[in-house]
Amino acid sequence: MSGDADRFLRLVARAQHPSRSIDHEWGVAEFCDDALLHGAFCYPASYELGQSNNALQILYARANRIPQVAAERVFLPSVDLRTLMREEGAELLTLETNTAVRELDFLGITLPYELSYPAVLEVLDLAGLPLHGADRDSSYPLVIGGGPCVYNPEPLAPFFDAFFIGEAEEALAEILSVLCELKDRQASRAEQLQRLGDLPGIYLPANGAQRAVKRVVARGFATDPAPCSSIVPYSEVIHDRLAVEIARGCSRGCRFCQAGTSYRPVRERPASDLLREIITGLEQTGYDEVSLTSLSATDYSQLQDLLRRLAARLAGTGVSVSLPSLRVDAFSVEAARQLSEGAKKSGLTFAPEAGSQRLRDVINKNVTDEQLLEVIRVAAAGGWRRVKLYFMIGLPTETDEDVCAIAELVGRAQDLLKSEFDHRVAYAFQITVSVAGFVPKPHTPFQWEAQDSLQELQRKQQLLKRALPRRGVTLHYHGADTTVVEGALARGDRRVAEALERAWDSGAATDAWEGDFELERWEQAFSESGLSLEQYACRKRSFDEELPWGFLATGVSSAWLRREAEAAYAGQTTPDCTFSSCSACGACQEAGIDPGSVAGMRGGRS
Amino acid sequence: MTFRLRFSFSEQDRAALLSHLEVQRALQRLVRRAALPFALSQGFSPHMKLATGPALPVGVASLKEYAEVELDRFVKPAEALARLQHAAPPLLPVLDCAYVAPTEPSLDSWFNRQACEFTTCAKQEELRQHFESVCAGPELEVVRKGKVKRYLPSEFVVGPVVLTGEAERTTARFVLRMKSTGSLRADLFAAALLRPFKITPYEAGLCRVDLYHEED
Repeated sequence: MSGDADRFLRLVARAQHPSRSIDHEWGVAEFCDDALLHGAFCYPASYELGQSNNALQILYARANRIPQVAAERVFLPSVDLRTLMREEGAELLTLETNTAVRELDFLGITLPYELSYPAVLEVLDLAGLPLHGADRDSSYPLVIGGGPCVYNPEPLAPFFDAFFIGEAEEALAEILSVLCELKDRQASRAEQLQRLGDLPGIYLPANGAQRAVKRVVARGFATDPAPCSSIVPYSEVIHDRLAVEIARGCSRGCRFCQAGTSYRPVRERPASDLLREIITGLEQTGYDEVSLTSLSATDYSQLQDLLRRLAARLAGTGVSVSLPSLRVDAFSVEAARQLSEGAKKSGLTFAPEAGSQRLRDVINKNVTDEQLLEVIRVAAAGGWRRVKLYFMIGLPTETDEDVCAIAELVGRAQDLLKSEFDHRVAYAFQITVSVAGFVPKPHTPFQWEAQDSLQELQRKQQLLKRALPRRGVTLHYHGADTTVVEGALARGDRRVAEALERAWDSGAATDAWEGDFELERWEQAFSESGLSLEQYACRKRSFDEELPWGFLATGVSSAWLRREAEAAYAGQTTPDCTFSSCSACGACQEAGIDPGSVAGMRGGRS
Repeated sequence: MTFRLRFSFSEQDRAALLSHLEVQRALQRLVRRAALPFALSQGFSPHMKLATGPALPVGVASLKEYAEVELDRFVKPAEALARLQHAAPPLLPVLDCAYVAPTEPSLDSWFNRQACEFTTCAKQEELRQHFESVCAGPELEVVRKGKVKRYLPSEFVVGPVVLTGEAERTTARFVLRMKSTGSLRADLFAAALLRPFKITPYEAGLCRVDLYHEED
């Protein structure tokens, strides 16, 4: 063990949960000492969050299959360990070989959530890297961003050398091959960036928006084997189970949802392939739970078949199967019933998103009151006693009546339980209402919308609190202050980077965790940068305005986004193309996939 | 009928930083990967029937720890060992295994002594004097989840400290009694011994070197 590693472990031993930093888990890659290219994938949060991220595991496994490449993991150390590291002058090391991050050839950073941006700066600082790409020469690793938040990279532009836009699993081999070649002949940073910039999906922030950058789509998703999470952590991580992605993309068309546009088109893996890969994954990892992941898992057309065959194969093994999200319909409850047969029924979660039918039509959440009430009735009859419902407030065109409609809907659900079930069931049934503030996101039909101000969000939270029935209902809501900052970062331009750096410098490193959050820090940082936090978050953009992310092409056309926004104002819904006909969003054509193979692919299902 | 397969494993180097719960979880996954025909408990949430020996505190290594899994079918010990060794994570190598009779007491209730060692640059005489003063001294306190627990060292320490090694590099070996009503943790006792020398038990390589039973 090197002196640095030994010293680092001594610090780790003094911090909380030291097992986060010890590596040597089952399934970690074995590295050749003579790998030409040495890099790491970083999740800018704790090990528990980062190790749960399936994308990180996929990229890690794929990169380490390339003989010339050694790709490690880097996570943000906990606050107590960071304090110890700074006190002792210790720098950030990779997890596997305890190499200084500063000495790597590349550092790929996932951008999972806007409020994790300060944590990115914290990672760079702990690693001893200059924060700005312009200050880093070829002796430093190339810092490349990717992940869900990359669809507006401008607030982070000065800190990165490159961004990868899209699904990286297939493009990764080419990127790493180019980096190997550049490393081999010790190319300058300028040449490295020039070559990288020629690759599909790569955006070089130093060059600005000189050309449209197209999102890369993993075309072989449906036919490639499903990569199962292979590293088995010692410590208990957030999603401590085998995760298998059964489908990618969702074309339900919820108008607020960025993932709904940025992961199109819908692709499904065959059930027989999945069954084989799940069984192999369980045998190889020893997990006792498998999660079938997708943006909308119950939309997967072969779900019933897959669940039936899994139940047969896993009988008597003590392995449970879980679905991360349930659609509001009886089919979903039936799927949940299949999964929990003979086991304790913990709770079901649904996302009606809005309380009134009018507003649900505006956001294109094609769910009716009757469907939701039926789901609750079926859940109660099936033995469940807890349901969690996700709603948003601050949605476009929302009125106070729409907010109060959430309470009315919950009240109707309770009335139904009282009328149809024994009073012991009705009174034991708990409904948790979880409310988030709406944040307009880039590349969605609502990307031009105004966001509610802090005061308006807080007023609506109180309105809902007063209107909800008290008995049998628990209300949770996200902080309105974090929602406003999230909004400002989500639609910020390059000028926001200065405010972000100031906020980080004043202690916002882990603002993604609400306990550490202070709005004043952000307001001051924006103000000192000559910007208005509220303006960035709450200003309505016109259809003609040039948007900071306008040069990125997700495949979904701007014209379609605008048509959808106009349909929202008219209260018109757009059906899911996988159940009906093509809505001409453009994603299939851009991805080189025949729209005819997607439209109506799930039409046989109810 | 079920079969009690007892196996041992070591927890050295970085493995010292694993908690007891983390080790238990890792062992369950190890047994699953080994594809042994383990028995499941009955009820709403069936789980593997796996038991471990006395907990090892975070920061303490061990040469040999024990676990026991109930099997529904007999698997030859040599085959079971090969499977367990192949499926063991790098920090928890499996050492050996054997079947035990159904009448054997549980691991947790059987072991009542633990021998531990650490190495420090303290001089032997200094360490011996300090050991004697800690053993004769007041209760050692530990706060866990807001509750204070107190242990009188003289109730737990068995025999004298054994000191070996050269000048400036002393290895100390001591034995602690383990009771069903609560035991003085090896790391707490070692921390008290090491306090004057400004070194933590982990830095001194505190290691449980033996677990055994001795009639009181």
